[in-house]
Amino acid sequence: MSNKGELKLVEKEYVVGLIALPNAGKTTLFNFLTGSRGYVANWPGKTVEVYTGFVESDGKKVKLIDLPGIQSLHTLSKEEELTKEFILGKKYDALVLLVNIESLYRSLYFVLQVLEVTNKVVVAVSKLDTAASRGIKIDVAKLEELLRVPVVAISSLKNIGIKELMDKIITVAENKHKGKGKYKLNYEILEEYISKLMAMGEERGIAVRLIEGDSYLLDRINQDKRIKVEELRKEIKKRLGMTPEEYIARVRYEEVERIVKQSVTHTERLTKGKTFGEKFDDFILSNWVLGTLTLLSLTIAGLFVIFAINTGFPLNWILDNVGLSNWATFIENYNLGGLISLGFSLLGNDLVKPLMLMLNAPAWSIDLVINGIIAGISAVLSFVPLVYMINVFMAIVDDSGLMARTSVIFSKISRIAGVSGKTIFPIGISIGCNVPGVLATRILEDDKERYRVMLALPFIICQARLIVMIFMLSAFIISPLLQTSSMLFFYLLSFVMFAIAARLISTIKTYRSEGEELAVELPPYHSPSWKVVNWISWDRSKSFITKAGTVIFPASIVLWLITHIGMHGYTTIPAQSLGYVLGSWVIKVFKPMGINDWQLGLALLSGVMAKEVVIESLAIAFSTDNPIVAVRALHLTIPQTLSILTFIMLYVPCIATLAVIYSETKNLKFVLLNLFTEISLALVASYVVYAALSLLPL
Amino acid sequence: MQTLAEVEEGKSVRIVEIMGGYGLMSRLLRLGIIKGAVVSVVRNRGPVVLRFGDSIFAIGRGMAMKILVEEVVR
Ligand SMILES: Nc1nc2c(ncn2[C@@H]2O[C@H](COP(=O)(O)OP(=O)(O)O)[C@@H](O)[C@H]2O)c(=O)[nH]1
Ligand SMILES: [Mg+2]
Repeated sequence: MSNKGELKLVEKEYVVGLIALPNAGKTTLFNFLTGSRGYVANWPGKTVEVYTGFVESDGKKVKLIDLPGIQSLHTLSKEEELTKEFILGKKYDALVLLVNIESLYRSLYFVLQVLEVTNKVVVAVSKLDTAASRGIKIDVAKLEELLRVPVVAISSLKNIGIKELMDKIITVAENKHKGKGKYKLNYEILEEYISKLMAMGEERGIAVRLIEGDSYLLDRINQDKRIKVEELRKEIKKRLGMTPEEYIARVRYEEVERIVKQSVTHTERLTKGKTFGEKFDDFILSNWVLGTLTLLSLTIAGLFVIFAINTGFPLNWILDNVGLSNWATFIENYNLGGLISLGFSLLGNDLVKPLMLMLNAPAWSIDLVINGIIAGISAVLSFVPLVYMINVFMAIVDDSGLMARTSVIFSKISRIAGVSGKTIFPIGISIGCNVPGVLATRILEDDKERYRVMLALPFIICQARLIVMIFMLSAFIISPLLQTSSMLFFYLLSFVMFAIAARLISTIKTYRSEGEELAVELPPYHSPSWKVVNWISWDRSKSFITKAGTVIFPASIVLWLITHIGMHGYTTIPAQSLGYVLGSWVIKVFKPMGINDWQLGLALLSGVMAKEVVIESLAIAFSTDNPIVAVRALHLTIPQTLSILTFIMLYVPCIATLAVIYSETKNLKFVLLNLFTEISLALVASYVVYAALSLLPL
Repeated sequence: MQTLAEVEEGKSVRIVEIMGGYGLMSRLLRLGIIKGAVVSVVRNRGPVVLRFGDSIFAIGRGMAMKILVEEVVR
């Protein structure tokens, strides 16, 4: 027995990286090879999630790492940078470079770049099953001869070439590939400069990248070398009349064209005329209004269903307005989120509480367990189905090819805020809930843009804030016309604030992107694979529980402490708690508007936890069961109501949103910047609203 | 000489010059669009949709107006 165990220990495990441009079919291949048993974890020292899985082939063990998709070695995000570091770091036994059969030119260009750095590579041409309908045929042997590394053509969906791929991976990992030497591209005029850098001790591949002006590598060489490289680059530019990167790109493209010419033959396309996808593109891309309406309705329909299932919103509101208030109540109570909360509240009040009473537990501990701990767990878990379904939705939009189209169509509007068209998704999702909205910013490929959006996103009014809005409006404003126009005003305001915040933050250099304009690839349409979509969405939801949950949960305990601990220890009377002190302090900010109730101050403070709590907390503070009585007890005038609502709509969305922003960035400074921006802009806006309304005869 | 934004749909052109800073250039380079490349304009209303090699790209009009091209006779 023990012998066997020892054998296991010495057994070699090959480390293999899976690398491709986005959309090449990497996730599908990984899922097929590892049979959905891959696990996701942060890369050591990074906030980037990487999938790892194990595959066995002929008794050999392969540790497969699914690295983030990379557009180019000119990286824009920490994900892309990680993939680049992995390639340059060479701590692997083999790389699988997936070549997308649908964009051979771009894929091969990337392959050439990688081959310059390493030849521990297997090239896999993906989606072979679509070759016939696209009218192309690939000569694998020829490609292998030209690239000097093993090449296979595969289809992960149809299980073609997978065994061969594994065999070739092992061949490369064991250094058994018999090729005719290393691939080398001749850069002609540049060769003498490359030699100069190689004489200084750089590998050829790195020398080429340095001449290309690779800022990542330039930052990592010593001063002397950097000066030398800059000199050489200037010289080349003068001599060629173009930048070295342009020249290099041109040489590579000419090579790609030669390769394609020799290894790809065009046959007759199976589908005659335009495909459905091409017709659909004609339809949405030719007329901006039609395109916008089509994609907007698709997005709204998808999100509508998801939010109705999870939170009841906005279906409940619609049902209520068409007179079906019984149905509305039903949906409000029996949506997924509601059921989870109900479950936990039953668990707390009907099981844990009696049990603790029986054990003579002190009152404070029962309160803490039920309203702090169990409520905290419930707060985390009630997000999970929503996060899962939003993940499914986003995966479908992304894999189908619709995402790129949305980016194009909405770029016109989104440019107002200096962000790309895809931002429509984080925004749309945030109207339901900011938490999955923040998670959805992962679709943005430029990190700087992602930070800009994350800073602006909390201004989007979510469902919880809508509830507070409706409550306060109906408590203090009688005219339905004024109610409706106030609601419209707040939504408009939130979009304006989104744009202002996004623009404001781009004045900070760290968050400014190189170019804001639209430039995207439009991949062919695909019907996504349900198996892959489901797997990846579950995995992301699980990682949400651990990552965001570890922040949301303690935060809810802290908030419980504030409202239940006072000068004399545990208390159930808010006026004796720390919350009273803090509440009186917070409300001072609204003195200019003539609002002085500490109860409102405390409610605003609790609102940091979740906006649903604002009303509830008012009720507790005014010691009443009836929330409408509590709200009316504030005796607000119309300008006061609208001004305080402006503040509530815009300041900190909730602790969960801040928690995901933190877990996505691991950057406390950024979270604080977020808090500061939200609170200060919310204050300014509420002052302005009050001042403007006071001038009006309302 | 014309800009990419002025090219008729269906025509093929060669990119002669990319006017604009490093930002614009590197964004296009990320997609593999470089000086000297021959692209064909698929759609030219709103954003410019072009085919380059076997891929389709969409670029903003403002960007397209900064790209000088010459017609390629086939
Ligand atoms: N026909 C076909 N489609 C595939 C194959 N592999 C992936 N796809 C599709 O290509 C799209 C992108 O795949 P995905 O695995 O998400 O690519 P990734 O971005 O590289 O992870 C999805 O719509 C997949 O369903 C394949 O072998 N055959
Ligand atoms: Mg993927």
